[in-house]
Amino acid sequence: MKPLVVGAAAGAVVSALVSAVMVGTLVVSATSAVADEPARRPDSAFGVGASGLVPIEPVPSVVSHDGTRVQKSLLRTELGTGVFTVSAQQGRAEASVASLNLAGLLRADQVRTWCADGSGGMDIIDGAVLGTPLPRNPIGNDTVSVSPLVKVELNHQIAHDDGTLTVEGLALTVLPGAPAPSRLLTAPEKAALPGLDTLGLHVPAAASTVADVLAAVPSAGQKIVVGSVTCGRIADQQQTEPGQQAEPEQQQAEQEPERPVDAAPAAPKPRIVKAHLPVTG
Amino acid sequence: MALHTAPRPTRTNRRRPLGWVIAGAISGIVVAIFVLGMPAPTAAPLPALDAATVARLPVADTYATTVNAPVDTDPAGRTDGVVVHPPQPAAVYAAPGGAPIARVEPTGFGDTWLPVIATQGDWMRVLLPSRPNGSTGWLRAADVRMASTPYVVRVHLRSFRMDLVDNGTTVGTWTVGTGKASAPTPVGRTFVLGALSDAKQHYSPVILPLGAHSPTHDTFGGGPGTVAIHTWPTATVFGKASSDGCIRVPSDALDRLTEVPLGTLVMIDEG
Repeated sequence: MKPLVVGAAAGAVVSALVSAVMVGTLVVSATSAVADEPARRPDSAFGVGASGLVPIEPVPSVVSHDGTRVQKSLLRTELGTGVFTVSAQQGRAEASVASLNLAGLLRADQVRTWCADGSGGMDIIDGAVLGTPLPRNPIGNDTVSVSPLVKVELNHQIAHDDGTLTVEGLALTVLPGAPAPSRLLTAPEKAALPGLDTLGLHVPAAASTVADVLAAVPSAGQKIVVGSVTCGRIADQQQTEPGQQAEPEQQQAEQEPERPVDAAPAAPKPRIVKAHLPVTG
Repeated sequence: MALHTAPRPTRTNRRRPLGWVIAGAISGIVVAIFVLGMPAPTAAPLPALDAATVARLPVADTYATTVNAPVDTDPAGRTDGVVVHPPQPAAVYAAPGGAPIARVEPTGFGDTWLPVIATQGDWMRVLLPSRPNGSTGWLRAADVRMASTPYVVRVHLRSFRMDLVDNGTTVGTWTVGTGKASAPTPVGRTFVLGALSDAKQHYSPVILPLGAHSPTHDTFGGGPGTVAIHTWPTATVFGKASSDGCIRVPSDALDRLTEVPLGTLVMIDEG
């Protein structure tokens, strides 16, 4: 492997570790794929979870079955630390984590993933995977190249047949079948090794090359998702009464805002700032 | 909806010349379809402009004039109270899928919150804080955070009355002062732009600048002629048109208004 940047090299290690774990890559999201699916996925959100070799139940996790707002917060998880806050209500869900440190591999001041009435997106403030900065406002289904081994997907949007939308904010996957370079581990890579234990990847302390790391990791896959939200369209959810006529799927004409006020969180009270702006007295 | 049914190009793809070739071909097809009279492309969400491009757009703030901003065509129209905040600089477009005309910054006088006056697909039309009065623009829903305010502030110039409405119920009514004939308070819908304390303007502990500007003062006191709501040291100004455009309110009204979220609509009429 030709290391592009230090962070990328470290990424290789991690990826290796994780990759062993994460072979599954895009195959099945622990969060979004269920064999026996309900008629319509309920509005839901979770903070962080892993699927693959070492599945880790998503936490914190909320599901709004009847449209009522539900919210949970958590300061620490098996996978990392941060202030995880998730909420879901009719047609809206959000998963945000502040001061995130995921096993030393992923750090960010904030990662926020949201969906509302059939749309969704995410934003990242000062995020980096193994030192490689992440974009602040990723486009849908964005992929960032960190190393040949680690795959970083951002704002992965999955449109379900039932009309709901899942947005996976940030997914780390170690690519299966990646080459195992025999080069020595860099200092950042070695520094990242202890964090791999957190992910269920046990690498001998004596590992000195990237190949050593890969060899110590099983060949199964692992995928870690930070921030996943699922929500449907409010109009769809309101069509529960028999005889109620469906709204046109896409009203292109300009229209008054239709999202119920209750669907949006309350706007914050203003913070009074010190500033100078001469006004018209 | 295109946002989640049509995967967008990855960052890598966007860097490849081939990507541009394909994009060119696709745009050619789109143009062909348009020319042939087939349904025009709808206002599908566009990929976000990169940060550098957004940064080059002129800012839409209280000091600026936004050229080519569509004007609010329903200045007395009510909304459902949705307000949006751009977590990072966001492009403002002339129309859904149209040309970018400006950018809005995450903060101004506190966090920036703009009222949504219309939606179309994944686009939101907002009131802008820049000149001319009634300036609006379209934002990509993906670029903003959405919230809601239950409040509306209604100002009736002729009767010098201001109402604070909470969820449709008037929860406060006050007699206020308004702009004099030579510097009238502008009519129309605007919004609470910020909440600030200004050490150089002692007449009010808190000043609430609005998104509107004086129609007669291009500048005032070194500022851009921003109209604001604030209190005044003497009660004699209430019930009079004596300001240079600002709305002077009793201190208890100001206390209530400082609890109102930024972005809340302020509806000013002649009544």
